[in-house]
Amino acid sequence: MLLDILPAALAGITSAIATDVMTKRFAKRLRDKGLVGIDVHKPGKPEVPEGAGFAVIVGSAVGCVTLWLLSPGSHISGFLGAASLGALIGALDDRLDLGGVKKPALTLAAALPLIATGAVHPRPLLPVAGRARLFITISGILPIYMSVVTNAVNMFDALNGMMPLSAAIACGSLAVIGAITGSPATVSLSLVLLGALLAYYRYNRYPAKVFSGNVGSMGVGAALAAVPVFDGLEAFLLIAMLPLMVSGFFLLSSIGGLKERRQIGTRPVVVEEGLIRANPDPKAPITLVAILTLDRAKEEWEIVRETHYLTALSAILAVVTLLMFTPGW
Amino acid sequence: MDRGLALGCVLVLEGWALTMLGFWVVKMWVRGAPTGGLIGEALKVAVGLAILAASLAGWYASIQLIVKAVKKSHERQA
Repeated sequence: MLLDILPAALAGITSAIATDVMTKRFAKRLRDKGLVGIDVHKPGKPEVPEGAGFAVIVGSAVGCVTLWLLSPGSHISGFLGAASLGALIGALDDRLDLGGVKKPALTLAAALPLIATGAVHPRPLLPVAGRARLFITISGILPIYMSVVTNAVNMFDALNGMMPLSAAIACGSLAVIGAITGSPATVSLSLVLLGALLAYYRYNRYPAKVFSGNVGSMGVGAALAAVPVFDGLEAFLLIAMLPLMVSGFFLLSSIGGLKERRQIGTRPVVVEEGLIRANPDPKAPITLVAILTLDRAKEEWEIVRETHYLTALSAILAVVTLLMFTPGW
Repeated sequence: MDRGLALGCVLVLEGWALTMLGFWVVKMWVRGAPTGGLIGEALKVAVGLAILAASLAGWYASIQLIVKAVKKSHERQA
Protein backbone atom coordinates (compact mmCIF):
# COMPACT_ATOMS: atom_id res chain seq x y z
CA MET A 1 0.00 0.00 0.00
CA LEU A 2 2.83 2.39 0.96
CA LEU A 3 4.56 1.69 -2.36
CA ASP A 4 1.31 2.57 -4.18
CA ILE A 5 0.90 5.86 -2.31
CA LEU A 6 4.58 6.90 -2.53
CA PRO A 7 4.59 8.08 -6.22
CA ALA A 8 1.35 10.00 -5.60
CA ALA A 9 2.74 11.62 -2.44
CA LEU A 10 5.94 12.60 -4.26
CA ALA A 11 3.90 14.00 -7.15
CA GLY A 12 1.80 15.99 -4.67
CA ILE A 13 4.93 17.49 -3.05
CA THR A 14 6.42 18.35 -6.47
CA SER A 15 3.14 19.91 -7.48
CA ALA A 16 3.08 22.05 -4.30
CA ILE A 17 6.68 23.28 -4.77
CA ALA A 18 6.11 24.09 -8.46
CA THR A 19 2.86 25.96 -7.68
CA ASP A 20 4.58 27.97 -4.95
CA VAL A 21 7.37 29.04 -7.33
CA MET A 22 5.00 29.75 -10.23
CA THR A 23 2.53 31.78 -8.14
CA LYS A 24 5.32 34.16 -7.05
CA ARG A 25 6.52 34.51 -10.67
CA PHE A 26 3.03 34.98 -12.10
CA ALA A 27 2.18 37.57 -9.43
CA LYS A 28 5.20 39.69 -10.37
CA ARG A 29 4.61 39.34 -14.12
CA LEU A 30 0.89 40.11 -13.90
CA ARG A 31 1.59 43.21 -11.80
CA ASP A 32 4.30 44.37 -14.22
CA LYS A 33 1.89 43.99 -17.13
CA GLY A 34 -0.86 45.84 -15.28
CA LEU A 35 -3.15 42.79 -15.13
CA VAL A 36 -4.63 43.57 -11.74
CA GLY A 37 -8.04 43.38 -10.13
CA ILE A 38 -9.42 45.62 -7.37
CA ASP A 39 -10.09 43.99 -4.02
CA VAL A 40 -13.41 45.76 -3.40
CA HIS A 41 -13.89 44.19 0.04
CA LYS A 42 -10.83 45.88 1.58
CA PRO A 43 -10.47 49.42 2.89
CA GLY A 44 -8.51 51.44 0.33
CA LYS A 45 -9.47 48.94 -2.42
CA PRO A 46 -5.95 47.66 -3.20
CA GLU A 47 -4.90 46.40 -6.63
CA VAL A 48 -4.08 42.68 -6.69
CA PRO A 49 -2.48 40.69 -9.58
CA GLU A 50 -5.33 38.80 -11.29
CA GLY A 51 -5.01 35.47 -13.12
CA ALA A 52 -2.39 33.86 -10.85
CA GLY A 53 -4.63 30.81 -10.39
CA PHE A 54 -3.09 29.48 -13.59
CA ALA A 55 -0.10 28.59 -11.37
CA VAL A 56 -2.24 25.74 -9.94
CA ILE A 57 -2.56 24.24 -13.42
CA VAL A 58 1.16 24.66 -14.19
CA GLY A 59 2.08 23.23 -10.77
CA SER A 60 -0.30 20.29 -11.29
CA ALA A 61 1.33 19.70 -14.70
CA VAL A 62 4.75 19.44 -13.01
CA GLY A 63 3.23 17.05 -10.44
CA CYS A 64 1.73 15.02 -13.30
CA VAL A 65 5.14 14.71 -14.99
CA THR A 66 6.55 13.30 -11.73
CA LEU A 67 3.59 10.94 -11.47
CA TRP A 68 4.04 9.87 -15.10
CA LEU A 69 7.74 9.06 -14.52
CA LEU A 70 7.00 7.00 -11.40
CA SER A 71 3.66 5.43 -12.30
CA PRO A 72 2.45 6.17 -15.86
CA GLY A 73 -1.17 5.91 -17.01
CA SER A 74 -3.56 7.49 -19.51
CA HIS A 75 -5.56 9.08 -16.68
CA ILE A 76 -2.70 11.57 -16.18
CA SER A 77 -2.95 12.98 -19.72
CA GLY A 78 -6.77 13.07 -19.49
CA PHE A 79 -6.60 15.03 -16.23
CA LEU A 80 -4.08 17.51 -17.64
CA GLY A 81 -6.05 17.91 -20.88
CA ALA A 82 -9.29 18.68 -19.03
CA ALA A 83 -7.57 21.12 -16.63
CA SER A 84 -5.83 22.92 -19.51
CA LEU A 85 -9.03 23.19 -21.52
CA GLY A 86 -10.89 24.57 -18.46
CA ALA A 87 -8.11 27.14 -17.95
CA LEU A 88 -8.18 28.06 -21.65
CA ILE A 89 -11.94 28.74 -21.51
CA GLY A 90 -11.37 30.78 -18.34
CA ALA A 91 -8.61 32.76 -20.07
CA LEU A 92 -10.96 33.45 -22.99
CA ASP A 93 -13.60 34.63 -20.51
CA ASP A 94 -11.06 36.92 -18.80
CA ARG A 95 -10.23 38.52 -22.16
CA LEU A 96 -13.53 38.38 -24.10
CA ASP A 97 -16.22 38.18 -21.39
CA LEU A 98 -18.03 35.11 -22.73
CA GLY A 99 -21.25 35.72 -20.79
CA GLY A 100 -23.41 33.47 -18.64
CA VAL A 101 -24.57 31.09 -21.37
CA LYS A 102 -21.54 30.66 -23.64
CA LYS A 103 -19.22 29.86 -20.75
CA PRO A 104 -21.12 26.79 -19.42
CA ALA A 105 -21.72 25.70 -23.01
CA LEU A 106 -18.01 25.86 -23.84
CA THR A 107 -17.04 23.98 -20.66
CA LEU A 108 -18.97 20.96 -21.95
CA ALA A 109 -15.87 20.48 -24.13
CA ALA A 110 -13.67 19.91 -21.06
CA ALA A 111 -14.94 16.31 -21.13
CA LEU A 112 -13.34 15.64 -24.53
CA PRO A 113 -9.76 15.01 -23.29
CA LEU A 114 -11.16 12.57 -20.72
CA ILE A 115 -13.26 10.67 -23.27
CA ALA A 116 -10.29 10.64 -25.69
CA THR A 117 -8.15 8.69 -23.19
CA GLY A 118 -10.68 5.84 -23.20
CA ALA A 119 -9.95 5.46 -19.48
CA VAL A 120 -13.20 6.91 -18.10
CA HIS A 121 -14.86 4.35 -15.80
CA PRO A 122 -18.11 3.23 -17.50
CA ARG A 123 -19.64 2.01 -14.22
CA PRO A 124 -19.91 5.00 -11.85
CA LEU A 125 -20.43 4.15 -8.20
CA LEU A 126 -23.73 5.67 -7.05
CA PRO A 127 -24.84 6.14 -3.43
CA VAL A 128 -27.59 3.67 -2.43
CA ALA A 129 -27.72 2.14 -5.94
CA GLY A 130 -24.16 0.77 -6.24
CA ARG A 131 -22.33 0.47 -9.58
CA ALA A 132 -24.41 1.67 -12.55
CA ARG A 133 -23.91 0.35 -16.10
CA LEU A 134 -23.32 3.30 -18.42
CA PHE A 135 -21.11 1.69 -21.07
CA ILE A 136 -22.74 3.61 -23.94
CA THR A 137 -24.16 6.76 -22.38
CA ILE A 138 -21.25 7.82 -20.14
CA SER A 139 -19.80 9.97 -22.96
CA GLY A 140 -23.10 11.89 -23.12
CA ILE A 141 -23.34 12.50 -19.38
CA LEU A 142 -19.69 13.45 -18.79
CA PRO A 143 -19.81 16.87 -20.59
CA ILE A 144 -22.80 17.96 -18.43
CA TYR A 145 -21.00 16.83 -15.28
CA MET A 146 -17.80 18.69 -16.29
CA SER A 147 -19.73 21.88 -17.02
CA VAL A 148 -21.64 21.78 -13.71
CA VAL A 149 -18.52 21.22 -11.56
CA THR A 150 -16.30 23.69 -13.45
CA ASN A 151 -18.85 26.50 -13.30
CA ALA A 152 -19.77 25.81 -9.67
CA VAL A 153 -16.10 26.21 -8.68
CA ASN A 154 -15.88 29.37 -10.82
CA MET A 155 -18.95 30.90 -9.11
CA PHE A 156 -17.50 30.09 -5.67
CA ASP A 157 -14.45 32.31 -6.23
CA ALA A 158 -16.03 35.31 -4.50
CA LEU A 159 -13.83 36.15 -1.50
CA ASN A 160 -10.16 35.72 -0.57
CA GLY A 161 -9.19 32.05 -0.26
CA MET A 162 -12.77 30.80 -0.66
CA MET A 163 -12.24 28.84 -3.87
CA PRO A 164 -8.84 27.15 -3.38
CA LEU A 165 -9.42 25.86 0.16
CA SER A 166 -12.97 24.68 -0.61
CA ALA A 167 -11.66 22.84 -3.68
CA ALA A 168 -8.82 21.44 -1.54
CA ILE A 169 -11.27 20.14 1.09
CA ALA A 170 -13.36 18.44 -1.64
CA CYS A 171 -10.15 17.08 -3.15
CA GLY A 172 -9.05 15.75 0.25
CA SER A 173 -12.33 13.89 0.66
CA LEU A 174 -11.82 12.37 -2.80
CA ALA A 175 -8.35 11.19 -1.73
CA VAL A 176 -9.88 9.50 1.33
CA ILE A 177 -12.71 7.96 -0.72
CA GLY A 178 -10.19 6.82 -3.36
CA ALA A 179 -8.03 5.20 -0.66
CA ILE A 180 -11.02 3.44 0.94
CA THR A 181 -12.32 2.09 -2.38
CA GLY A 182 -8.83 1.16 -3.66
CA SER A 183 -8.92 3.61 -6.58
CA PRO A 184 -5.30 4.49 -7.48
CA ALA A 185 -6.08 7.08 -10.20
CA THR A 186 -8.32 9.09 -7.87
CA VAL A 187 -5.80 8.98 -5.01
CA SER A 188 -2.84 10.04 -7.16
CA LEU A 189 -4.64 12.82 -9.07
CA SER A 190 -6.27 14.19 -5.93
CA LEU A 191 -2.91 14.38 -4.15
CA VAL A 192 -1.39 16.20 -7.15
CA LEU A 193 -4.23 18.76 -7.17
CA LEU A 194 -4.32 18.99 -3.36
CA GLY A 195 -0.61 19.87 -3.21
CA ALA A 196 -1.06 22.60 -5.83
CA LEU A 197 -4.19 24.04 -4.17
CA LEU A 198 -2.68 24.20 -0.68
CA ALA A 199 0.47 25.89 -2.02
CA TYR A 200 -1.66 28.39 -3.94
CA TYR A 201 -3.94 29.02 -0.94
CA ARG A 202 -1.00 30.62 0.93
CA TYR A 203 -1.10 33.47 -1.57
CA ASN A 204 -4.85 33.70 -2.16
CA ARG A 205 -5.99 33.55 1.49
CA TYR A 206 -7.05 36.69 3.38
CA PRO A 207 -5.56 39.25 2.75
CA ALA A 208 -5.03 37.99 -0.81
CA LYS A 209 -1.73 38.70 -2.53
CA VAL A 210 -3.08 37.26 -5.80
CA PHE A 211 -6.46 36.66 -7.47
CA SER A 212 -7.19 33.46 -9.40
CA GLY A 213 -9.06 35.00 -12.33
CA ASN A 214 -11.43 32.88 -14.40
CA VAL A 215 -8.34 31.22 -15.88
CA GLY A 216 -7.52 29.86 -12.42
CA SER A 217 -10.96 29.06 -11.07
CA MET A 218 -12.15 27.33 -14.24
CA GLY A 219 -8.86 25.45 -14.57
CA VAL A 220 -9.19 24.26 -10.95
CA GLY A 221 -12.87 23.38 -11.53
CA ALA A 222 -12.11 21.25 -14.59
CA ALA A 223 -9.14 19.61 -12.84
CA LEU A 224 -11.25 18.81 -9.76
CA ALA A 225 -14.04 17.40 -11.94
CA ALA A 226 -11.53 15.19 -13.78
CA VAL A 227 -10.07 13.59 -10.63
CA PRO A 228 -12.77 10.96 -9.88
CA VAL A 229 -13.90 10.03 -13.43
CA PHE A 230 -11.29 7.29 -13.94
CA ASP A 231 -12.68 5.31 -11.00
CA GLY A 232 -16.35 6.24 -11.36
CA LEU A 233 -16.49 8.28 -8.12
CA GLU A 234 -18.11 11.43 -9.57
CA ALA A 235 -21.21 11.23 -7.35
CA PHE A 236 -19.04 11.60 -4.22
CA LEU A 237 -17.37 14.73 -5.55
CA LEU A 238 -20.81 16.22 -6.16
CA ILE A 239 -21.76 15.48 -2.54
CA ALA A 240 -18.48 17.00 -1.29
CA MET A 241 -19.34 20.13 -3.29
CA LEU A 242 -22.86 20.75 -1.92
CA PRO A 243 -22.08 24.29 -0.61
CA LEU A 244 -20.82 25.22 -4.08
CA MET A 245 -24.13 23.99 -5.50
CA VAL A 246 -26.05 25.97 -2.84
CA SER A 247 -24.08 29.06 -3.84
CA GLY A 248 -24.84 28.49 -7.54
CA PHE A 249 -28.55 27.85 -6.84
CA PHE A 250 -28.79 31.08 -4.81
CA LEU A 251 -27.31 33.05 -7.67
CA LEU A 252 -29.51 31.35 -10.30
CA SER A 253 -32.62 31.81 -8.19
CA SER A 254 -32.07 35.48 -7.33
CA ILE A 255 -30.93 36.74 -10.74
CA GLY A 256 -33.34 34.52 -12.70
CA GLY A 257 -30.98 32.65 -15.02
CA LEU A 258 -27.42 32.24 -16.22
CA LYS A 259 -25.72 35.62 -16.04
CA GLU A 260 -22.10 36.66 -15.72
CA ARG A 261 -20.91 38.65 -12.67
CA ARG A 262 -20.38 41.70 -14.89
CA GLN A 263 -23.96 41.47 -16.26
CA ILE A 264 -25.47 41.86 -12.77
CA GLY A 265 -25.89 45.58 -12.05
CA THR A 266 -26.01 45.54 -8.25
CA ARG A 267 -23.40 43.93 -6.00
CA PRO A 268 -24.68 41.18 -3.66
CA VAL A 269 -22.87 42.64 -0.63
CA VAL A 270 -21.87 46.02 0.71
CA VAL A 271 -18.71 46.84 2.67
CA GLU A 272 -18.88 49.24 5.61
CA GLU A 273 -15.87 49.92 7.82
CA GLY A 274 -14.19 46.71 6.70
CA LEU A 275 -17.27 44.59 7.42
CA ILE A 276 -19.30 42.79 4.75
CA ARG A 277 -23.07 42.42 4.83
CA ALA A 278 -25.88 41.53 2.41
CA ASN A 279 -26.80 44.42 0.11
CA PRO A 280 -30.29 45.60 1.24
CA ASP A 281 -31.09 46.82 -2.30
CA PRO A 282 -34.08 44.66 -3.45
CA LYS A 283 -32.42 44.34 -6.88
CA ALA A 284 -29.22 42.87 -5.41
CA PRO A 285 -28.69 39.12 -5.98
CA ILE A 286 -28.84 36.92 -2.88
CA THR A 287 -25.71 34.80 -2.62
CA LEU A 288 -24.37 32.37 -0.03
CA VAL A 289 -22.19 35.21 1.30
CA ALA A 290 -25.32 37.35 1.73
CA ILE A 291 -27.01 34.48 3.63
CA LEU A 292 -23.99 34.07 5.93
CA THR A 293 -24.24 37.76 6.85
CA LEU A 294 -27.99 37.67 7.58
CA ASP A 295 -27.61 38.29 11.32
CA ARG A 296 -24.72 40.73 11.33
CA ALA A 297 -21.99 42.19 9.16
CA LYS A 298 -18.85 40.08 9.28
CA GLU A 299 -15.18 40.38 8.39
CA GLU A 300 -14.16 38.77 5.12
CA TRP A 301 -12.01 36.07 6.72
CA GLU A 302 -14.90 35.14 9.04
CA ILE A 303 -17.28 34.55 6.11
CA VAL A 304 -14.65 32.54 4.25
CA ARG A 305 -14.04 30.42 7.35
CA GLU A 306 -17.77 29.66 7.56
CA THR A 307 -17.88 28.58 3.89
CA HIS A 308 -15.00 26.22 4.71
CA TYR A 309 -17.00 24.79 7.64
CA LEU A 310 -19.83 24.08 5.19
CA THR A 311 -17.47 22.43 2.69
CA ALA A 312 -15.94 20.35 5.50
CA LEU A 313 -19.45 19.22 6.50
CA SER A 314 -20.11 18.16 2.90
CA ALA A 315 -16.76 16.39 2.65
CA ILE A 316 -17.61 14.38 5.77
CA LEU A 317 -21.06 13.60 4.31
CA ALA A 318 -19.38 12.30 1.14
CA VAL A 319 -17.22 9.86 3.15
CA VAL A 320 -20.19 8.84 5.36
CA THR A 321 -22.27 8.25 2.20
CA LEU A 322 -19.63 5.87 0.88
CA LEU A 323 -19.17 3.99 4.15
CA MET A 324 -22.80 3.72 5.22
CA PHE A 325 -25.05 4.09 2.20
CA THR A 326 -23.17 2.70 -0.79
CA PRO A 327 -23.14 -0.98 -1.73
CA GLY A 328 -20.79 -2.66 -4.18
CA TRP A 329 -17.40 -0.96 -3.80
CA MET B 1 -23.90 29.56 15.84
CA ASP B 2 -25.60 32.43 14.02
CA ARG B 3 -28.65 32.21 11.75
CA GLY B 4 -26.72 32.46 8.47
CA LEU B 5 -24.33 29.60 9.22
CA ALA B 6 -27.17 27.47 10.65
CA LEU B 7 -29.18 28.05 7.47
CA GLY B 8 -26.13 27.09 5.38
CA CYS B 9 -25.75 23.82 7.35
CA VAL B 10 -29.48 23.03 6.99
CA LEU B 11 -29.32 23.63 3.23
CA VAL B 12 -26.29 21.36 2.84
CA LEU B 13 -28.02 18.61 4.86
CA GLU B 14 -31.26 19.08 2.92
CA GLY B 15 -29.37 18.85 -0.40
CA TRP B 16 -27.66 15.68 0.77
CA ALA B 17 -30.89 14.07 2.04
CA LEU B 18 -32.78 14.86 -1.19
CA THR B 19 -29.88 13.57 -3.31
CA MET B 20 -29.88 10.32 -1.34
CA LEU B 21 -33.65 10.06 -1.75
CA GLY B 22 -33.17 10.62 -5.49
CA PHE B 23 -30.61 7.81 -5.69
CA TRP B 24 -32.92 5.51 -3.71
CA VAL B 25 -35.76 6.14 -6.19
CA VAL B 26 -33.29 5.58 -9.06
CA LYS B 27 -32.35 2.24 -7.52
CA MET B 28 -36.01 1.22 -7.23
CA TRP B 29 -36.60 2.19 -10.87
CA VAL B 30 -33.48 0.47 -12.22
CA ARG B 31 -34.31 -2.78 -10.43
CA GLY B 32 -37.47 -3.29 -12.47
CA ALA B 33 -36.40 -1.60 -15.70
CA PRO B 34 -35.72 -3.45 -18.95
CA THR B 35 -32.02 -3.80 -19.83
CA GLY B 36 -29.85 -4.12 -22.93
CA GLY B 37 -28.92 -2.03 -25.95
CA LEU B 38 -28.50 1.65 -26.55
CA ILE B 39 -32.21 2.49 -26.25
CA GLY B 40 -32.62 0.54 -22.99
CA GLU B 41 -29.56 2.18 -21.44
CA ALA B 42 -30.45 5.66 -22.72
CA LEU B 43 -33.98 5.31 -21.36
CA LYS B 44 -32.73 4.23 -17.95
CA VAL B 45 -30.22 7.09 -17.86
CA ALA B 46 -32.85 9.63 -18.95
CA VAL B 47 -35.32 8.52 -16.27
CA GLY B 48 -32.53 8.32 -13.66
CA LEU B 49 -31.39 11.86 -14.46
CA ALA B 50 -35.00 13.09 -14.41
CA ILE B 51 -35.49 11.59 -10.93
CA LEU B 52 -32.29 13.20 -9.66
CA ALA B 53 -33.28 16.51 -11.29
CA ALA B 54 -36.67 16.30 -9.54
CA SER B 55 -34.98 15.79 -6.16
CA LEU B 56 -32.67 18.75 -6.87
CA ALA B 57 -35.71 20.81 -7.90
CA GLY B 58 -37.10 20.34 -4.38
CA TRP B 59 -33.84 21.68 -3.02
CA TYR B 60 -33.90 24.60 -5.47
CA ALA B 61 -37.48 25.40 -4.44
CA SER B 62 -36.50 25.79 -0.78
CA ILE B 63 -33.58 28.03 -1.82
CA GLN B 64 -36.06 30.11 -3.84
CA LEU B 65 -38.28 30.47 -0.76
CA ILE B 66 -35.29 31.74 1.24
CA VAL B 67 -34.38 34.21 -1.53
CA LYS B 68 -37.97 35.53 -1.55
CA ALA B 69 -38.05 35.85 2.25
CA VAL B 70 -34.70 37.70 2.35
CA LYS B 71 -35.78 40.05 -0.46
CA LYS B 72 -39.04 40.79 1.35
CA SER B 73 -37.19 41.62 4.55
CA HIS B 74 -34.85 43.88 2.56
CA GLU B 75 -37.88 45.66 1.05
CA ARG B 76 -39.35 46.14 4.53
CA GLN B 77 -36.04 47.60 5.75
CA ALA B 78 -35.90 49.94 2.74
